[in-house]
Amino acid sequence: MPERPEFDDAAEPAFEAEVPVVGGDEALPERPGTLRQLWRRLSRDPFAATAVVILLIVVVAALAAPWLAPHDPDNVDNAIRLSRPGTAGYLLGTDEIGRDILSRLMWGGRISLQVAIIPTLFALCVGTIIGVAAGYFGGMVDHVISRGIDVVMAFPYILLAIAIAAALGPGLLNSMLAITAIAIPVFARLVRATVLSLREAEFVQAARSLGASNWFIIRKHILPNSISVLIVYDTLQTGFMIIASAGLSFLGLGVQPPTADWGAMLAAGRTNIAAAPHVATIPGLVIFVVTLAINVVGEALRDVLDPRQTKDIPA
Amino acid sequence: MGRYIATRLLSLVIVLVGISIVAFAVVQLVPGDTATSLLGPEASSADVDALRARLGLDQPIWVQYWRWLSDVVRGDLGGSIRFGVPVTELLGDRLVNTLILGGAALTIAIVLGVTAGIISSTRPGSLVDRLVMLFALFGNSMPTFWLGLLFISFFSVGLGVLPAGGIYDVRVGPSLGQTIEHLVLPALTLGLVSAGIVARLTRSAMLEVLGQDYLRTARAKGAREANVVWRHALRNAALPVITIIGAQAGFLISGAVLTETVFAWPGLGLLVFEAITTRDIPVIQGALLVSAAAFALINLIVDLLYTVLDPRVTYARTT
Repeated sequence: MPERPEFDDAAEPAFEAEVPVVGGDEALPERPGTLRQLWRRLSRDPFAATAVVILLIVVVAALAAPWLAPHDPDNVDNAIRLSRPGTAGYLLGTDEIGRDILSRLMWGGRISLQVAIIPTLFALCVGTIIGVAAGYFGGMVDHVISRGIDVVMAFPYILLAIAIAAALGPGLLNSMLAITAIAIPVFARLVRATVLSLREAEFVQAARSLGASNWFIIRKHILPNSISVLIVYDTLQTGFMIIASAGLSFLGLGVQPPTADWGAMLAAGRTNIAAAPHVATIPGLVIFVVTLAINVVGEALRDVLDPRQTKDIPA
Repeated sequence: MGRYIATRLLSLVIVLVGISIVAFAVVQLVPGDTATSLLGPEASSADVDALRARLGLDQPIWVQYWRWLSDVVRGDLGGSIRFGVPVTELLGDRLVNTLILGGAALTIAIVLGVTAGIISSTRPGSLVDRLVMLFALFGNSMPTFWLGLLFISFFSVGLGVLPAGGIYDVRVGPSLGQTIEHLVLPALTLGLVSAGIVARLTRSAMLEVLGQDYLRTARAKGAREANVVWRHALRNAALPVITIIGAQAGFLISGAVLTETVFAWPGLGLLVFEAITTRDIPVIQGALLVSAAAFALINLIVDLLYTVLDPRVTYARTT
């Protein structure tokens, strides 16, 4: 994937002498490819590498749940209810009606990951369209869109999602819609800011003066140059969405019983927190670890794809 | 200054109008016809039409919005379906409880987060710095409802030192001591998660300032390091830090919904949770409206604080 446009590396030595580069990106003569940089970053950072492995395991476990799950996730057996983790045949124990927690986590992962990933991608697409329109066309368009973004972001996000999901009625699709609605302005604002900084760039001006159409400039210059920032924030936003969607599900607005998802499992386990704390804490731990792993990977991606933002880790 | 405040107030009004439109629109999402659902499926179409006319549901949408808005401005947020009392009445007490919880959590977040952020910024790359960054990462990835459950499981069930929920023990009755005792766990849950984020952003803001020339000058003149950090650097890092704190207010209101549910803390969040189960949409709408308005006001205060702390802002932000 061509990551950086040519203009970045076009620093002529003759110019360098007169105009010193102030804290700019590393203008190295040779830049390793993005994938190689990412690989190097991951192999040097055991924390990030572990995060990638964890995510791979979780995704595979969720995708392969029909084949890998040891039990039917909805199979009720009151004889073994609230079994402790480590019980023979039930690695993570059973819940309040004797269903296998591991199997439910695997099947629930299909829902929980889907509720986080699909709305994030959808919000990314819609947010990009809105953000490009605002940033590129400016003026009245920008003004109206920006005020709209301000308004939606003025709401405490979970509360807005709750209100939307509660009005539409509980359920998987409605909670996904609610989560999408709160993520769209986040992306729109990010894309707008990125486009604003690109709009006046010399290569865009050059294209414009050569008579390129708006659509051409957006497609060939603006979007390709925004993509790395978007990948980074899409990843980080997914982590946030895992928590937000689990929160909705915890409140009873996500998938409905008996279907499993991590937030609903946690909520159901609350009543037995004294007698069998594992029923609630294990799904919570999974939500936490998956979010943590996504955030770690997102930050590694940011270091590689969006070096300007890496202010947190001093050299 | 006066002009800046006027511009800022105008934009607040625009945002508030926007908030009211969104809150009104949310209720329009409810599937089905309100009159039919109120009268039940057995009602004749003449009765349904009569009720629709009486409720004003046969009017165009903007007329309905205008009527609703004029009620809201007069403090009438409609009636709760479940409790049968005005929503405003329900929200009052609950809002106070949420503000108590949010205030306590914000205090924890500021004290812990800002201190940790400053300490780690003065020793970048050190063990302390790495620990603070790890803490921040954990805070960013932690579902508050899970942390709350862990606290209950450990402190209430395991050690038996703190109450697991509610705002007072019914056997003792409400008192300040009871409130504080019941406040500890939910405030810690919410505050710790927020502290991680505050620490991280404070650190970035401080690192930016600590690299500035005037601090090098201060050091060269022989100022003590503590003086440089606390007097010179922190004062200049104050603006971004205050922005962060303002943004955390929104996070705390959101987090409060889930934290209050876990700890049965009788605030807005718990009220919203109870309203979800009975689909008491007017209550949810009211809570949405009130909390968004509160958040917008907090942001206004934060913006006005800028001008007090940094006179340069007035010129930079009037456009």
